[in-house]
Amino acid sequence: MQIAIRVPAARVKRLVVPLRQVPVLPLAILLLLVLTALLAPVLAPGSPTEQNLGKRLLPPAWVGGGSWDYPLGTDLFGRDILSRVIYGARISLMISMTAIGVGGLFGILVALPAGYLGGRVDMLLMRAVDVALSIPTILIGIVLAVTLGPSYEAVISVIVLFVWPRYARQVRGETLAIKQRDFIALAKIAGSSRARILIVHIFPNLVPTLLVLSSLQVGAAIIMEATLSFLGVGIPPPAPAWGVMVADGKDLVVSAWWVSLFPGIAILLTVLSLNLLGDWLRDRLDPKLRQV
Amino acid sequence: MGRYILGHIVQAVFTMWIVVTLVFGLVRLAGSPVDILAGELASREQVEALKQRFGLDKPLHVQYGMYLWGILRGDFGESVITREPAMAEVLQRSWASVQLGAVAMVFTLAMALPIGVYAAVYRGRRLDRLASAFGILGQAVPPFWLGILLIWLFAGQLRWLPAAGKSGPASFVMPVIVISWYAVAGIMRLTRSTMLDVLDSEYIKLARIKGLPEHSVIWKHGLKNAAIPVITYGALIFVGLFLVGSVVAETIFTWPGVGRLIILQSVRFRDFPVVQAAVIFICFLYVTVNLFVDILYSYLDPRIRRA
Amino acid sequence: MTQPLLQVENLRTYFLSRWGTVKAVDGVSFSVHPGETLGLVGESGCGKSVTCLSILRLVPQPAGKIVGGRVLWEGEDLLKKSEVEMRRIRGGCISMILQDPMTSLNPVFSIGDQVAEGIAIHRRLKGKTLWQKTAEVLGLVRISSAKARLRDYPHQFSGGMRQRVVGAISLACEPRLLIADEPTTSLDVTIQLQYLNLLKEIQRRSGVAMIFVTHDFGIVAKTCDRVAVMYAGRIVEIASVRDLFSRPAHPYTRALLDSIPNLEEQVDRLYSIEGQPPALHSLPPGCAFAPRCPYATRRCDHEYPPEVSLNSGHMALCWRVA
Repeated sequence: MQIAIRVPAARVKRLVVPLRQVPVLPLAILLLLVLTALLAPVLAPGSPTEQNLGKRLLPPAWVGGGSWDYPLGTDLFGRDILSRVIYGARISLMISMTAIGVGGLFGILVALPAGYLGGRVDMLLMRAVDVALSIPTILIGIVLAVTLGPSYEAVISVIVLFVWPRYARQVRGETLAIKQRDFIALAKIAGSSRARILIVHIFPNLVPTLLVLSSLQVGAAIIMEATLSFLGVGIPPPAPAWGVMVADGKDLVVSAWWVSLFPGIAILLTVLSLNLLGDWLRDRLDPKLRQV
Repeated sequence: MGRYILGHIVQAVFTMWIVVTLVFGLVRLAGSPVDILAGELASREQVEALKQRFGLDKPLHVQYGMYLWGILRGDFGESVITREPAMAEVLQRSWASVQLGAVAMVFTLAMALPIGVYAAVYRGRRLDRLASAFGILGQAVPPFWLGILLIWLFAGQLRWLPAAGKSGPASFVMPVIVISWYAVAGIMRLTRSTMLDVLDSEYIKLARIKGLPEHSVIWKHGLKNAAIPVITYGALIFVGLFLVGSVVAETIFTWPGVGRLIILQSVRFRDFPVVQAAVIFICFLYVTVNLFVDILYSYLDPRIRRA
Repeated sequence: MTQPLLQVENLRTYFLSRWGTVKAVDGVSFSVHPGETLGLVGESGCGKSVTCLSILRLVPQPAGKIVGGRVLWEGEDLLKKSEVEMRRIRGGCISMILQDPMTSLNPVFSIGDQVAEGIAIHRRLKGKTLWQKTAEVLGLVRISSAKARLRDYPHQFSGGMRQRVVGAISLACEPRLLIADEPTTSLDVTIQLQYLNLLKEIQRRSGVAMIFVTHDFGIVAKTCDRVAVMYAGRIVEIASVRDLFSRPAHPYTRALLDSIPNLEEQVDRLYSIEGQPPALHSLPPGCAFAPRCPYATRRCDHEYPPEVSLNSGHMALCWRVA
């Protein structure tokens, strides 16, 4: 505020307006999520997997019959739902970030040179991307779960399979556009090698696009993981994955609604925050990017 | 035009081949294919018969050839549970799935297109704001969770709709909402944004200059142009979502379709032959729908049709 | 003199934007008589196109709004007409050719469909007679073998041909007034000339009046009877072509004329107008051209100049001639 008094009003406005437009709530929720995931053992009141059959299906604390020992109630096996939701953040984030990291990197590594070199390499890539996009990945996930058994690795592989062509497509399109620009021609005239042009000149210009795409894809990945887990072909059950927890309450919903409700809210808030952040980034950085 | 369609048919066939090969690879990757194909309860004779049938004692490329040949004839082996041909189990349930999918598809388009168009036409007004709020919120609500909330409300609290199974028209309501949920939100947003671009264009101005009534400006000149990106982008994203939605909805609402079959057989019984048949069957539908959309797209866009 | 076909009186069209109210058209008056061509000249962004769209009541909604004035068509105010009546006027009585032929045809409908559409509405023709008439109109703008090309799509036509098709759409229902908004700007120079000649010829045959928007004085000299010069949302000078070229009264007009390269005279360097046109959301209280005007006095900065009639039909807004 002290600074604000000294600078001319117009400049303050320019500083303040973007700040006001920053999606504070989504950022706060995401920050909270990351902290929750990191500090899960400290924050969780109990164990996410310990069963207590004497305390089965306790309702949340504020409902009659609930107790503050189990703020969000317990599930069919007497496990503390709050602790499970907190640990679930770990699984959700770990799976989605790993999958996006691997899939995104692969997509970029394939598309960047292909887009830049063009010609036959590029055509081949685009065919591959088209085919990859038209493979229903969830079915592959199901097959994987039956043949190799459900596992973290299987879920990550499925999401990677889902994500990489989307990155490849976007990166290739951007690369095609960027390589037409004058500073690339200048770099060539200056004698930069291809690798140098790709890394130093083209890649930094892709960063805004990648940021936007990633924020939206992380949300999609979280939903995908949760969906697979819900169906029973994702994270194997005792683990407190949010999708698994929603499935736990599936048949109890009429009597014990809290079992499914809270993990669902966790997914909703996380994905909503990511999407809002992504939309905001897109408007800021890359208004032309379509959601693909 | 002919070349365009041919190109897409080739790609569709190629995609199918990739999926089929992927499935083959995954089975071999898992170690003993005999255990997977026969199931845990198979007798020694059954295992032997299976080895014969799929050539499991022969080299890999021969196995692969036999596998492809089997698929081309529709032979996916037998269910490890019922010992019926796997494909028959799938086809038996396909009609229920197709019915549900078709209703959901019609519902999606009937909701998403008009809302998207009106939101663009009345940009910034209350309808538009409501629609975009729904669009943003809608894309964050996981359909499987929505399904459970719906059951709680409509079957539990209000007792308006049946919680499970396929009976009368009422039983379609909740599964259709779950399947269409994402697609409605997404297609609506996409329609709105492309329609905004289109309404800004010079040819819309010219249509008005001609003295055309507003409904023909919007629904004829506007929507036909907006439909092209909506179909290309839309199909790409939403056919996949539809598929996931169907599997999810059939599982939640115990719909007697292929989606539920696949989950039931894979999770509870590990009945691989049926899962494999179902996966390839759904893939086939999926690829076919995509192909159909591509052809529709080429029909809508004269720049491709006349090429 | 006969009654004017179109009489625009004190027309004001504003746009509400984030930065304030943009007075795109701020008190414009002029008239067009049957069969004549009025040129509307000015730099881009001076309000020419918005003036034209205001006449047809097609200002982009909801940002733009016609806030005042009258647009009299044969004595009747178009601003008071219902939307249904306006539709009968658009394309039927007043039509318009847009600037860019590459984007003003709808890519997903055939040429024939797009030309026929207007005819079907205004002339109530159907089936074979409609198709017949459509081919006729396309023949009028010299599309060769028009009948065979009715089912072709815009992407199969060149830019010049597309602009002729746009012309055909506008002229299909024999309007009495044609507004041509820089119709040749995006065409090749040789095609420009062809197109202008075509328009002129159609005008000779049908007697359609025209408002010709352009920033090219060469085109003005070739096509127009009278000229209105616009600056920052207002008409600053209006005169017959002869008067305007020989006795320009407003410094802005003079500056525009001076900046045309003249092949007969040898000049060291081309004249150009210093400075930028003003932002339309923060116009000065006085003459909008004053900041760029070499003759500006203090009065010009503070008071808006009056309309001065110099002789019959020659009017300018400037303190120098007052």
